[in-house]
Amino acid sequence: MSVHVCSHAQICGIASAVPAEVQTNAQRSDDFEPSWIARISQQIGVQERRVARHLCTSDLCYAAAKQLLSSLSWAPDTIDVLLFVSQTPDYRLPATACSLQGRLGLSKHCVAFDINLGCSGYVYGLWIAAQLLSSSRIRRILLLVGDTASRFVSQQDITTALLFGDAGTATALEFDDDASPMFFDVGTDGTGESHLMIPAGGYRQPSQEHTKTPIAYEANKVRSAEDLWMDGAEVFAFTLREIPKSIRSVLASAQWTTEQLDVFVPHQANAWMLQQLCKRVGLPAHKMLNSLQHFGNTSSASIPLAMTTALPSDLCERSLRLLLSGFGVGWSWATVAFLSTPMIVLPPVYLEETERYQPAWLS
Amino acid sequence: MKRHEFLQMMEELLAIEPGTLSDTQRLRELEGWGSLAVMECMAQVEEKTGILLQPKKIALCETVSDLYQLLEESNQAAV
Repeated sequence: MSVHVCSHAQICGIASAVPAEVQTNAQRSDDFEPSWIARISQQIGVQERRVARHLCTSDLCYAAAKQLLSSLSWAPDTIDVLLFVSQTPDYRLPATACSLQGRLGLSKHCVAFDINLGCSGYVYGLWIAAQLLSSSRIRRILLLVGDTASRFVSQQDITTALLFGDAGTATALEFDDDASPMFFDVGTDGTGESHLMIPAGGYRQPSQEHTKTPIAYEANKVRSAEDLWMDGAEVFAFTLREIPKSIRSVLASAQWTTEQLDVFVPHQANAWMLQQLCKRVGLPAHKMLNSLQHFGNTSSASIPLAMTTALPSDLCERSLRLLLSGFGVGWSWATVAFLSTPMIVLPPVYLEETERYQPAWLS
Repeated sequence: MKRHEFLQMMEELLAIEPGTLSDTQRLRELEGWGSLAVMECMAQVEEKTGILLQPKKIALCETVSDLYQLLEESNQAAV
């Protein structure tokens, strides 16, 4: 798709929530050789991550949304659309967006649906929200994005166990005639599906005893077919093949040079890969946000989480030329360039396990 | 990229003493040759030549020479 311009969407605020429990990579020395932990942690730029035991993504998004709606003084019945972007829904059905509409007390006229995307999910969600605001009578949208990726990785697979953390986020968007245009590039290459996936547990390979059985592929790489499989070299090749093009195309449409750009917020894939990406597009490393050290790769939540943890005062106080790019599982990617206006940015909520939602029907 | 430049690049990224890596060295017998080294090799080759080696083709390479051959073939295919 060529670059798409959306004209009437304003981001009014962003909030995030993470599990209170911290897991450091150094703590994993019972499972992995400390020298390997040190080497990999340095390369991926992750020291510690927030991990959910029983908390769901919806619990994290709910906490972030409650705080954000309260700070914006947005009454629940003024929300026209709730979008929930995640690969870790509460149930196989119904959609978690429906559950969250009920929990948040939103109007019955509220449109609510789930979007199953990971690394590209936040910018994809922004694109859908911006499209709705630009082309319909929708006035307010609540975009809830997050994942509890630590719950779908094998703790014995060093490729993923040291990388992924959990987070949920909430972004409030509103129709605004004067909003600056947003320049989006959105793309897909489904031929890459097998390189980053959970092969079993869906309907093609339903969960069975053998799909749950851990298999040792190499030392330090033990996982079942219901755990995440990631081919790092293929992820890297995809990123270098597609993302520089995507970034250049939105910058060209916005008529911005890399020098004019204030902040680049990429999906927090891993530190080494992001350095390589910056080099390819001629972006100085100091313009790139990095929240990997304390949160790891939080899948779809990583861009808004980085914005709330690494950039809060700037986003609150002034307009910024922002470039956001999400890319990965699918393969799927979405990049956007836009001039932000000062918005509400809240510090992360640290959610305890005891604060998880207990549906009435479960008790 | 000349063969000696390629060998030098591999020695550096694998932290091997300069001048000791041979063409016939089997990749899997090199201690540092794992997924991180594969990505570093892809990055350096791409940066120096503009050629992005395909991971599935790298996985088929048995020796250092096979890897260089892959680079040569990819280079010719790109011309």
